[in-house]
Amino acid sequence: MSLTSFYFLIFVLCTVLLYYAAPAKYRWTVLLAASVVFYVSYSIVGIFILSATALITYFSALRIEKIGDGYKSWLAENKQNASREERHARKKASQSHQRRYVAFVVTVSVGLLFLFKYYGYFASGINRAFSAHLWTAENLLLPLGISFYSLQLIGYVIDVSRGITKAEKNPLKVILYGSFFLSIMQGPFNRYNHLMPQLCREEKTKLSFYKFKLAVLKISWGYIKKMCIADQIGCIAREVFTNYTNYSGLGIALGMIAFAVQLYADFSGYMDIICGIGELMGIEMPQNFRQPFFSGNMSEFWRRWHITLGAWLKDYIFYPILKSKAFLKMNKGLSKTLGKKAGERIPTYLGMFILWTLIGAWHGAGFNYVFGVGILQFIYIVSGELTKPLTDRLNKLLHLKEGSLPLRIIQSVRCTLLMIFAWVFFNSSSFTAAVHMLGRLFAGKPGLSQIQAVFYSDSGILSGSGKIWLIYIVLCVLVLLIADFLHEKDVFIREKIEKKPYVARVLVYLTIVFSIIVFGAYGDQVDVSNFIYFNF
Amino acid sequence: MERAEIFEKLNEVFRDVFDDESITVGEDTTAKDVEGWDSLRHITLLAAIEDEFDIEFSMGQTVSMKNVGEMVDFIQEEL
Repeated sequence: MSLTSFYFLIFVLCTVLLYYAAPAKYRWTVLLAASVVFYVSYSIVGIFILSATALITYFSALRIEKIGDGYKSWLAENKQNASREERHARKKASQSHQRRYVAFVVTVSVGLLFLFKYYGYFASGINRAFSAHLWTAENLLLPLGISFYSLQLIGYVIDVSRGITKAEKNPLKVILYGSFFLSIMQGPFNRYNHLMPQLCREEKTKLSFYKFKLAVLKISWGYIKKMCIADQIGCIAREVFTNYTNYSGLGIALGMIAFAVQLYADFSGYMDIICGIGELMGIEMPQNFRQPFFSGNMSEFWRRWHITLGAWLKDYIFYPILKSKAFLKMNKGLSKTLGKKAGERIPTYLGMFILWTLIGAWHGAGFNYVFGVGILQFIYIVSGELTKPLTDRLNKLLHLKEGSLPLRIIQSVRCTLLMIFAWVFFNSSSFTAAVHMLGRLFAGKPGLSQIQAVFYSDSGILSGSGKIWLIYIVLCVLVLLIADFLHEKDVFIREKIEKKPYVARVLVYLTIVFSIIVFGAYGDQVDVSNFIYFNF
Repeated sequence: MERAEIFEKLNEVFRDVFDDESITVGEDTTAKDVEGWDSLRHITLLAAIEDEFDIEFSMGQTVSMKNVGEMVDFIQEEL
């Protein structure tokens, strides 16, 4: 059931109506049923794999909490009598016992993720290298949302061990947490203590007409981004990336820019759609984007792009790595020999390298992902930090004040160009293909003829005049930029629209509807059914 | 150990980690109030505090402390 299909809209309508018709106490069961129906519309087998993982997580979390409670009650009874060493030893033993259950859940979740997502890639590689005949898992279909629900469930069990979340007593609620239909396809990464109190709230909530209109506006904006911008401009990106050997210079540059626009409109459009649907039921989904192209540097970019993935990795991977005994030891050892700064930086950079490699690998099985969305990002961030004194001096020389508009524009353009470059690896079929495509960027004759060539390609995906296409791209970029600029300035566009007189509001609604009908991408040549991050 | 005494020691650790002698932290001080206290330096800071007080913050405490006041609560819990 694609998010852009008519069936999905009917499905959402039924879910929202049933949600409000059900007694408040049982509304979560409507969400569970909707999530199962949504999941089964993609895969029946997958729901069993998801449920089994969720149940293993459920039982482990209960056990972890029991172990923690055991330590707490011992501490309450013996706080006065027990020595500090004894308390410390008891705490360590309890944590170590809990860690075994956490490790069990991590092994199961990551094991399944590896089997479905990465095993085939490695097995094929081994077969090619050693002429072996390993099973390559060709018949295994990647269960919907496995990259998302696996990490969410791991996060839940770790939170229980850390005492941040109470263990859930109802196994069906853990299944709901894993399968929630608004985040199963492309995230965002939820936290149990943020999402579940909202899904399982027992007090009756009502949807006012005002909030309904705001939610519908958000959903509509998401569909405009997806269907009128991402899917349309995606045709250009698809043509150039698929047939990159036919193009060079500006033709390749056009494809690269088109993909960046497509990716942002596609992913953030999806987020707007699901956040708007959440708002219809009084559910606040976590923010995943915060005007990423207005970032001052690459670290900031990643705090504004796919925010929930970064936050998840920081809390559950990066901090534990840096706080591990080995890293703390390294920090101290290097501080003594190389000085305080180096002692601090080297382990941090090593931790960052591990983190970024994992982020790259999470995006897909292939070195193009590991490099483009992983190692290259690490290089960007670290080199940005190491060259900061130099860039500061340069800015001073050019009289560019920190925070001034000209400098912000330069920084934003720099970040955008770096990401356009990196996404070539993300969107290419392989690392080699990406390198070849980038090589063609600087090959061939310069000139606008290459851009014309893209629009009059043999594939037939793109039709119409090149000039109209170029105007369309510029308009789309402008629309996205203006919307982001207003959000950056804390202008709440939806609220502003709703405060306008009746006629103005009707005009806005009609513009939205006609934009989707007229500019939306439809037809056999356009793959509107899938979002780029779908099924990662 | 009294809270005031903990704060006194904490100020020394903060000044040392962030190389800034003017830092004085209070109950409501957060990462936003101290220049350079980002997610990367957070662990370095906590490691220095652990050394100073001979304690060990759990990962739950590490990710959930919202301000220096909570940090002092955790230190008192561990002492």
